[in-house]
Amino acid sequence: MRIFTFLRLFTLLVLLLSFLVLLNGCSSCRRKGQGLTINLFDTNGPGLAQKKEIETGDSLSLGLTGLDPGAAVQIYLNDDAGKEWSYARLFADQKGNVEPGLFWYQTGVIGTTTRQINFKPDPAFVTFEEAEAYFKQHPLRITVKDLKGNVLGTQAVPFRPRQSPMVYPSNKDGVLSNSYNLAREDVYATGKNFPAGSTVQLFAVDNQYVWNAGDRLSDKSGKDGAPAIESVTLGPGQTSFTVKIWDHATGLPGSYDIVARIARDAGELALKQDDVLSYGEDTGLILYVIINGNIVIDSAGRMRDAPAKFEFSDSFEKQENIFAAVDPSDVPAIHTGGNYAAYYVVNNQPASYWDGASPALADVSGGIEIQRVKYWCINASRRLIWPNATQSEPIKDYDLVVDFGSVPAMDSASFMQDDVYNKGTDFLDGYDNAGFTVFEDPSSAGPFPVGNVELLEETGISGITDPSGTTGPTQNVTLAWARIMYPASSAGTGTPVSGTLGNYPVALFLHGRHWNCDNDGSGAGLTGGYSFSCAAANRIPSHEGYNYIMERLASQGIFSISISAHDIQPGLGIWDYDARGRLILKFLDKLKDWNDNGTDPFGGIFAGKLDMSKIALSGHSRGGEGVVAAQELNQTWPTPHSILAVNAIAPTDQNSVSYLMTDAAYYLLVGARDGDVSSMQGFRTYDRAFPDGAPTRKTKVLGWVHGANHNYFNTIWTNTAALGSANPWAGSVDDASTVTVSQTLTAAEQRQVALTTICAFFRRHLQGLEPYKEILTGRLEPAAMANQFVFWTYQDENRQAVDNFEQTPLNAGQNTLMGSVTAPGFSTFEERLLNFSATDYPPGFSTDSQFFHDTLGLKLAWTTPQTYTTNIPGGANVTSFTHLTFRVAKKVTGAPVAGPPVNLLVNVQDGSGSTGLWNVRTDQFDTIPHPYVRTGGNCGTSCDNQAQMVGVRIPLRNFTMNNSGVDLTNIVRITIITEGAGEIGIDDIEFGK
Amino acid sequence: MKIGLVFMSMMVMLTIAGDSGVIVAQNRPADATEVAFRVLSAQARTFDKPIRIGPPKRAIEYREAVVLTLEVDREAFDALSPSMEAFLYIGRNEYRIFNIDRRDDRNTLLLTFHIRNWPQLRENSPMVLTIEHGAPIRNPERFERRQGPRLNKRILGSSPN
Repeated sequence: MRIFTFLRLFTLLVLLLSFLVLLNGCSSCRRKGQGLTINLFDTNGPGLAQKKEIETGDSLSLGLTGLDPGAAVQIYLNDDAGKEWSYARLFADQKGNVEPGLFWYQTGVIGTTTRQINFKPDPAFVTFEEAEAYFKQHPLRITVKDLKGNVLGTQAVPFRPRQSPMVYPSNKDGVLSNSYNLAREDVYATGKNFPAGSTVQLFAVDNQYVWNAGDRLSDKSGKDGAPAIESVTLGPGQTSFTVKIWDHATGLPGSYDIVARIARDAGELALKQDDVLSYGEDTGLILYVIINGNIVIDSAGRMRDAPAKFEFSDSFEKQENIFAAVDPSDVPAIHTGGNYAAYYVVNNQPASYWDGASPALADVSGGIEIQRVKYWCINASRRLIWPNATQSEPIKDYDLVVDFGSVPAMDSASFMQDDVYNKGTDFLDGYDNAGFTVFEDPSSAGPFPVGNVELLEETGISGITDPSGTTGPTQNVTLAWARIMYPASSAGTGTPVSGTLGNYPVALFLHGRHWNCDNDGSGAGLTGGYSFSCAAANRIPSHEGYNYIMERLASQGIFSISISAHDIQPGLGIWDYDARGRLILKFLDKLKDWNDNGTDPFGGIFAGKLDMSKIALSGHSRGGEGVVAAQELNQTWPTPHSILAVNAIAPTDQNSVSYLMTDAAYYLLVGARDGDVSSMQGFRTYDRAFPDGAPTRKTKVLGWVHGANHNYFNTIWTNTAALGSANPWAGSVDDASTVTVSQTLTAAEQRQVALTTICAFFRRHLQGLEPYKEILTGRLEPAAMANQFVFWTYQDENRQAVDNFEQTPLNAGQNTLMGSVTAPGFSTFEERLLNFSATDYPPGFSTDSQFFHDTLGLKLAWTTPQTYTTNIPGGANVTSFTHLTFRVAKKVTGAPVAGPPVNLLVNVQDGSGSTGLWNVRTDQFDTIPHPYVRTGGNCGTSCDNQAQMVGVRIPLRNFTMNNSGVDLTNIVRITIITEGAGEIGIDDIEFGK
Repeated sequence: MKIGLVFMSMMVMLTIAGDSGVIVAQNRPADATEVAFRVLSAQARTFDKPIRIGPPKRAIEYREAVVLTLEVDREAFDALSPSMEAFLYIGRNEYRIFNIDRRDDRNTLLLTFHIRNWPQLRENSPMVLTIEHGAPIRNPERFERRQGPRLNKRILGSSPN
């Protein structure tokens, strides 16, 4: 027994030691990178051939396998004398691989150029002979390290003098040259190691980064780009040559490769496996002319996963990561730069600066980034250029320069920094407009101290009441009660208006219907009701519920007033909404009088201080209908006001004659958890706004907020528990307390959505801060907001319908442009009135009441993936637009339960058949959500599975990207491909901005 | 305003529970969507001046209508969701409240409606005062089948002048 015990213990000990050894050994393995494989490739020939050694003049591509997923590595190419010939910092993919990429250019030979250069990289060679002589003596080695400097792997790079044929562009002396000024320089080709006595055919063809056998060879070196294939016959014993292949007089600006074929005649005009290529992944040569023009492109933007790859943008929030990329479609044929360039973020400069002499570049993003910017795919050029963008200013403009350095650089090591913008060579994201803007949340506290006053005049309003009851209510509507917050010289009550600016734009808020009378005033107890004769001390100050927005707007330089509808609250029947609209206009009359005549009751502090040419309105609930009414009634008002923007929060739409948005930008904000206006009737105001053919069209925006209720946008209507502080006023409840939902925003989160987005909307239209648009498109997701709950629709005032589905009689087979529409294989393909209640359309339309809208739209259902195609007769020139947009909702039936969003695959086609290189996934730009899960409340089960449309907004850039060839002047077709099975409603397929 | 002709009453619907108190005080009950009512009168009227409703450029204008007056319990009516307007449905016809007669010394409210298509209304159509907008149009069977107030055109005393 004892022996057995000892043996057992011994065995255990051995196993434990073995395990520790293995563990340690494995750790060592990983540190030493024993799983790492370094693969070398030749980029000179067709395809990507693996290479065991390099010859003089080879460019070297390198790939790695066996790294940890996502690992960052540093790669060095050194010789035995310690010279560093190349360096790269790369990241492994999720499989632990680094895909092959160009690492070293032409064995360190940079050749020559006639351009003036002030910098020569060291080490580097001018001729291949120099390189060959050096590397015969100095072997090369690649070393891979992690970021801490630990060596993960190392491998010798065998070198041998050139034995195989090579061809390269050169000057007449046979020295490598990659760029030529067409004003005076001819292009030569130099070949080496060709068979003595052979005949060589030389093609100058358009540059390609990836060559494969069979690719077409189209020589361009003749007059006007016609073929002029040069033929060289070598003498006995002659293995090299230098011949002129392109006279500068016939040269066409652009980038080219040279192909050499050993043959008596040109033969088949397609690349053969044994053709000699200069070069593959490199550019062979660049022919340029100096032009008097700036190359203005989009470059700043945001990363997108494949297939979208990248989305250009001009708007970023502070602390956001800003990326840059160069779309191959933007690289002009006329271009002198190399493949590599540096991204410079510089302070915005006027066009005159960029047109001036040698504009200096001073990067402000913490350093420049040298990056390959020319490749067949935009992916290669994407680069983080400004992590956590930081600035002291609240909002600031920048330009982005893609600087190609002082000489064409074919790899990062060859890049010669010159810190100068070279017009006609460098790319500029900016010029006449800012390249991009970085700003803080529009609702941040601004520079102005906030002054405030309360207006209280028992008979301050007149002209709304009509004793006859035929044009207005018979009840008295006379109370002028309001809270005012304004940019002041110092914070406090009644302090002077700030003198920083001459005057300030105006924002007016109007609440909705809520108990107007608290039985015990603001004391304890929460009972109340509606009364036309409520004692002054008991009036519930619903208008104070938006102070959280007003205070911020005032601090940003906007005079803000929130008015009470106390006299209207008990209910004015048919006049309710008209009275709210007229109340707003009466207050605007009053403000105009204060401004023009110094009649305000606060000592005339507002005299001349209000910019009455810039007015915005915000209304909540019935107040939302009131602001829409006000802007329409304003058209016939005795002294019309300059209302530029209207925001409605969870509005009603109940007037006998529906009010229309007619001449001001509109922002509709609606919560999906609304337990009061649960019929989402406000969507109808959006549907009706600015239809095709309307005399005036303005921008309209819709924010659909999952988890937001009705009351929490107003702090006076928010119960104490949700508010987080005592609210003594009666009637404060969670209106959706009896609604069963799957997602809920806190009151604070809900208010933040209103705060950020209303400030963005108002400041855009009142202060001209255009970059805030991208908050309203949903592209810029403010850090302060619960963005995943907010779904946006943005329709610019400049838009062109392909199909708005409004043509009657309904015909799904024909679009608004009279083009044919096909949808074979769909189980449902029909136009319907999408309406839940109270339509403004004439009777007779087949209706789908699961869509809480009021619009004619298209319904599609499918059980297997299908393709919807809408054709544009004659083709459309959409170059004045930036986006393809449409509205879409997922429809489901049955018990309301959570489900996945819908994804659609979208593409366009031009008249010559070119399409985007890939179908764009809608979910990479906008989510088409599963209907918000709710049931119960005041609409019982009839509000289950509300199909509310959201916007899809696809940049046209993503269809033209990577030289797809799509011609935006002649778009003839849009296709939408579905996935899986499902059902949707669609409206407003448009080109817009 | 010249008030035309006749007053007739009354179709008794649901009896309204009385309550005392000036301003109705309550915490809102959950999810009431309909309010019981009593038809007080239906008068065909011609107005001295035309009624003009809506923005001036698109206003609806009329001079004749049947003025239908309903009486509702104040507490029940005020307990409806505050933003949702109660619409009256007679069959599939929808009507907005024209006026709310609200006095703090009464526990009922008087609601008036202008019915301009009275002749087209079908006798015995269900009548419902509800914030479920469109429900009697989307799902008329639900209201046809159930017990509840029905239109009786005999409440109208005479035609307009």
